[in-house]
Amino acid sequence: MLTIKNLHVGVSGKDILKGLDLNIGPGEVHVIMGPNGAGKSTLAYALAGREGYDVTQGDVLLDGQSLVGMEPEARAAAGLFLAFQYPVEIPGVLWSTFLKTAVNALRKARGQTEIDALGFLKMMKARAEALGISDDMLKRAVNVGFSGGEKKRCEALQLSILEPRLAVLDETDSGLDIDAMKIVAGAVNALRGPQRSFLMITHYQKLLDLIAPDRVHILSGGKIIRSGGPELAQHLEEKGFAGVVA
Amino acid sequence: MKGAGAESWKYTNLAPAHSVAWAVPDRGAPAIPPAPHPVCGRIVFHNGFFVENASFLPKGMRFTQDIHRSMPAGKDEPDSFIADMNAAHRQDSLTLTVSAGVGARDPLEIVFLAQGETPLRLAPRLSIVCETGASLRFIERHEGAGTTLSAICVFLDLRAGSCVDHVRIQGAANAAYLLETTHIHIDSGASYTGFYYTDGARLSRHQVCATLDGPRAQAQIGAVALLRATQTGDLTTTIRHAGPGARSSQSVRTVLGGRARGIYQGRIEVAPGADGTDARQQSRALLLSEGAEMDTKPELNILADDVKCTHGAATGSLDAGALFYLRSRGIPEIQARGLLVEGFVSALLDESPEQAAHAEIRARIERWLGAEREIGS
Repeated sequence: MLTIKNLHVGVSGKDILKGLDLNIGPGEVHVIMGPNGAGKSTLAYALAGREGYDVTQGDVLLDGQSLVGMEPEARAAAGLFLAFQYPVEIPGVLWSTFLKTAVNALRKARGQTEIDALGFLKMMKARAEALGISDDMLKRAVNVGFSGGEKKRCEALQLSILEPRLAVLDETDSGLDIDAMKIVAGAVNALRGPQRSFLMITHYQKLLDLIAPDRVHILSGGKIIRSGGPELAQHLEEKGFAGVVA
Repeated sequence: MKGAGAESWKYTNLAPAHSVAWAVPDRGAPAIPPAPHPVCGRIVFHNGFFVENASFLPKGMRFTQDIHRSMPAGKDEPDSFIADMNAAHRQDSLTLTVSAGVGARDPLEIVFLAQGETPLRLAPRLSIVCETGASLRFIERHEGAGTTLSAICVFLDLRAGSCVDHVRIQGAANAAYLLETTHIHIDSGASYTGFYYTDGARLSRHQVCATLDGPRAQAQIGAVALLRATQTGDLTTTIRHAGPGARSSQSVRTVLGGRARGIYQGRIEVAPGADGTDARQQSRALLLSEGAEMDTKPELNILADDVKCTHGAATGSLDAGALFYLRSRGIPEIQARGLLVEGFVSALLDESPEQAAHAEIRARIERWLGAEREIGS
C-alpha cells in the first residue's frame, strides 16, 4: 500500500532522511522506533506534506500514486492521515465544525456527496463515546485548553472519523496514561482491517503490547538500519538503542 | 475640511475626501427596505434626514425632533472634528427617550441609509436617553450606495441602573466615508454593552467616548472589523472612569487583507478619586497579506489609586501550524484559512449578548471570506 523508495528529506537545507526504504502492505501495522533526532517526526511530516520538509530524492507511493509534490489536503484525499505528536490548538473553531468540514472536504475530493448534519453528529458522538470523549469536550474549540492525553484521544477520534487508507501515528502514545493508552489502542485495533495500514512511530514497547505490529523498523541517522518482527522491539526494550544501533 | 490634522488623526487620512465636490442632499421620498429581523421599533435616517413614515416605536419609547441636549463636544473627546463637522452641516436631529419598564422581545433598529448618486455630505444626529432603570436593546445599521461623506453624532445617556445593549453593523457602501462619534454617559449602576461589526466603507472612523460616572457603572465593548483592498477602518475610543468602582472592558479583533489599514486607538482615563476602577483593553489583529497594516495605540492616563488597568496588543499572520493541521485533514487551503479567520473573530461575537444580529453578522463574515477567496488574498 505504501512504498517509500530511497527517500531523502531536507529541513532548512540540512539532510535529515538519507535514503529511507519502506514497504507497508495492505492491512499491515509497521512500527518505527529510533533514538531522538533519528528523523522519525521528519518522516511523518514529509509524508503529510508539511511545508519546509523538502523531498530532495526518492519517492513515496500510496496505492501506486506518488505523494511527492502534492498539497497536504490532496494527500489526505488520497487516504493519508497523520496523528500529530503535538496536536495544534485552534481557537474559535469548534470540534463539530472542524470535523464536519474535514469529512465533507474529503468526500467532495473523492466525488462523494456531503454528509447531512444530523447523520454526522450521530456518528461523531458515537465514535467520541467509544474513546471516552465527552459531549462537553466536543462543544469546545479544537484542542484549546486540552491536556496532552485529551489531545491524543482527539487525534484518535479524527482517525476513526476520517477512516484513512494509511494512518501515520506520530508518538500517539506519549502523554497518555495506561488507561487512555488502552482506549486509544482499542480504537486503532477496531480500525484494523485488510484495507487499512498503519505506520506507528513510538519510543515505547508498551504500545506494542496493545497493538501487535507486523513489522518493526529501527530508524537511525536518517535510514532504516534494521527491520524485523515484534521480537525486535522486545530486543530493543532489553538492550536499548545503543545496543542495537552499535 | 480643516481640523483632521490633529494627533488622533495621524493614521487616518481623509485627504482623498478633500477633492470631492460634496453636495447637500434633498429630503426626498425614499423607498426604505424592511428590517431583516423582527424589530420592536425602527428609526430610519435617509441621507441624513429622519424618515418619519418608515419609523415607529413601541410603547414606552418616544421621540422628539430638534431638541438636542447640548453636550459639549471636545471636552472629553480626543478631538471634536466629527462633532464640529456634524454641527456645521446639521440636518435632522432626534431625541429618543426610553422609559423604565419597557421590555420588548425584539430589538429596536436604527438605520442610517446613505445613497449618493452624486457625492453627498450627511450630518444627522441622534440622542437616546435611557431613563432610570430602563433597558434598551438596539441594532444600529449603516448601509447604502454611492459616494457619501457622513458625520454622524449619537449620544447615549444611561441614567442610574439602566441597561443598553448596542450592536452596530457598519456595512456602508464601498465609496462611502463614514465618520461617527458615539458619546456614552453611564450613570451609577448602569450598564452598556456594545458590539461593533465593520466591513463597509472606503474609510470609516468610529469614535467612541464613554464616561463611567458612578459606582458599579459598566461598559463592555467588543469590536470586529474585516477590511480588504484599500479600506481604512479606524476605531478610536476614550473610556473615562470618572467615579469609583466602575468596570470597563474592550476587546478588538481586526482582520486585514489586501492593502487595508486598521487603526485602534484606545485611551483609558481614570480620574482622581475613581478608586477601585477595573479597566481592560485588548487588541488583536490578523494580517492576511503583506500589504495590510495595523496601527494600534493604547493610552492610559491614571490619576487614582487602587486601580486595575490592563492592556495588550498583538498583530500577526495566520498560524502556519494551525493551517497545516487543518489541511492535513483534507480541508483545502482557502477553506482552512477561512475557518481560522472565522475562529479568530467568533470568540468575540459569542460574547455579545444580543443574539438577534448574530446570524446576520455570521453571514456577513461568510460573505466577506467568500469574496476574499475570489481575489485570492
